[in-house]
Amino acid sequence: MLKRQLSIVFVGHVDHGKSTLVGRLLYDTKSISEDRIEELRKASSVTDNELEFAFLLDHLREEREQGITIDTTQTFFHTKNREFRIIDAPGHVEFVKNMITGASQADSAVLIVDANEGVQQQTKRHAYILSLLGIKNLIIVINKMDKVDYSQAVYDKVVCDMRALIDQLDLCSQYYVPVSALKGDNICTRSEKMDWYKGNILIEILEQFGESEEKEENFNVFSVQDVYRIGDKRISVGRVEAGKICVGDEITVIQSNQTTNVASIEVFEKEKTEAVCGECIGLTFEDSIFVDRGNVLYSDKSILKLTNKFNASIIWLGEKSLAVNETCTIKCDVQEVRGKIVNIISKINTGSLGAEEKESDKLNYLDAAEVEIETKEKLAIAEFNQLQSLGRFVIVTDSNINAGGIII
Amino acid sequence: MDYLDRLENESIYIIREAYKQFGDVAMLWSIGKDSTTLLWLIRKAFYGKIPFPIVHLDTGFKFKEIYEFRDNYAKKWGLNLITYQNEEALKRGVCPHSGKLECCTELKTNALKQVVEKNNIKALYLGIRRDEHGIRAKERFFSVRDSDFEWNYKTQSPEMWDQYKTKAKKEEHFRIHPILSWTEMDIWKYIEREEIPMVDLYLAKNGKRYRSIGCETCCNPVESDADTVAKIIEELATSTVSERSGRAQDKESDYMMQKLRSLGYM
Repeated sequence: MLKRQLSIVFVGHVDHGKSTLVGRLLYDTKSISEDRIEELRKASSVTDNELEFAFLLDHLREEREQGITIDTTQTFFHTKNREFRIIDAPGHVEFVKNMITGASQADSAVLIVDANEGVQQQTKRHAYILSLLGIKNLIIVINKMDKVDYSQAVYDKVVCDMRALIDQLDLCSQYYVPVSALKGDNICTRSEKMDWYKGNILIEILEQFGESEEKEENFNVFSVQDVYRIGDKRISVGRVEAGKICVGDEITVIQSNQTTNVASIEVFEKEKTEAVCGECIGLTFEDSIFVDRGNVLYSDKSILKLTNKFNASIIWLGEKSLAVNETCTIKCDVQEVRGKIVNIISKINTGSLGAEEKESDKLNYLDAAEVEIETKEKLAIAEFNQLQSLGRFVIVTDSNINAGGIII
Repeated sequence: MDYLDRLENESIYIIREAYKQFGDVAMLWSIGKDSTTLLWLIRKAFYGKIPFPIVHLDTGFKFKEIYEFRDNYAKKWGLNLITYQNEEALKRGVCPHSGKLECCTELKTNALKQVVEKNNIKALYLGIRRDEHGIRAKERFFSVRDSDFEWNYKTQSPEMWDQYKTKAKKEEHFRIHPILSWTEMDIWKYIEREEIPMVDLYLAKNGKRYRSIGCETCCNPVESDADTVAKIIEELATSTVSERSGRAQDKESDYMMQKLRSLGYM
């Protein structure tokens, strides 16, 4: 049977070969159509290179000229055993927000390290962001082995450094693989030049890579997105955020503390008595209770908190700094409130992963910090480790999403 | 939930979110497989009672099957259908033979600008997908267009955790892309599962079928014997030709699609 589609983000320091690796995967799995290969040949002859795999993804003209990936690109391919969605994330220092956009949609990550250059600033930063996004399982690809004469000693040294980084960030990885994306070693064909490597090659790892386990939760949460009046029914539409919701369940609205039972689950032209985590459905209730967007409903044991004070780990992505006590908008799931950071507890340098000694009364571009947040109205939240959807939030200033954070 | 369920739910979430945020919305329906699938999802999201207009930009050069399908299902599904033509350009004689870039720009892009302005549309649902074309892979689910309809992809907000940019300047509007993550294969598998009605131009007749449809003048059929949806799915699993290879817009020059998009094209 086909395994579930795996969506993977490719991250790593600039020039460590992300786009080339993705291009090579597409080419070797014969996922590129004939007319695209022809386009590629034309483009390559212009710049006098061999087939430039990176061109496939760096589709915009100016990217071709600059040779760096500007934005997130998604590509799809499959082998006979599995379908894949790959998200190529940029490595240039200015484009971290695009990497976050890409990585937040992935359920696994490939972190690429240049064998010659080893662990660099962005290797650390990207690993840190992955830990912040809750992507715990990594595949570490040691690339450009052709540049170091396929040396096992060089490979072992990089693996050793990477293990230390993984441990420090509380991530985990059981997969390390030496490759050359340019030459195609250990991507889809086993390399004869690295007979010292006995592990699986990259495509084998990807085909077998663990599916993110769907946890059996013993708590049930529904978040209300909107309320529709359809005929004589008042339907609260939204998404099951944890566990499941069944007709007849007793549920409580955390904001108003009102309790009622689910009268029906409403989906278009279908009968439904049960909905599971991730389903977008509508609910009607036995009693007429007031329900509105942003309300969070739960049954059984609750891990939710209704509060206007919490601590969080955040990364600031805005070009303009955010000062302590400056008003901003906080969006958590479909809840939206005004709030502010009242205290910066500590700052982390994402490039070195050391503690930051600089000023601590504002957040600058790419600062990561542990902070205390206060909001005007109360938010229904959970700890990120217990419930991701209500344990993470973004900060909006000047109409733009400028930070992401997780509740700790 | 299986993989298609996941995609369906992601799309419905985005559709409902955009309606709640903007209110004055509309959907652009080209009557092709993608936008018809999007329309199907929108009907699901609003329980068959879509609270906003469905816009068809009529270049006047579409296949007759497209017009028949449009009128038939607009009635059947009770759509509030707005069909719109850039009459001024048509009167001037703009047509595919007078230049393809000008024709697309006038009859699609400028027609779209006019319809957005006239109907005071703040956000427009579109059925584009990331796997269609390299440039579309850069898109966001909620994507801002400025007053000239230009897309500044470099300054886009990050999009994470179902949080989207929802505020813009008064003269700007949003493009909403609920099926951005779907592939061509996903679309056909979903059409098969849901038995979504489709224009029969997609099905092979006399050894040829259309893989992508638009104006009759600028679409070429591909060689194919796939005369059922199941056979199309089978064909796609082994095909090495890209989806839009029969579309003139993509062939004309390497960067025609990029030019079109930067001018505000879908």
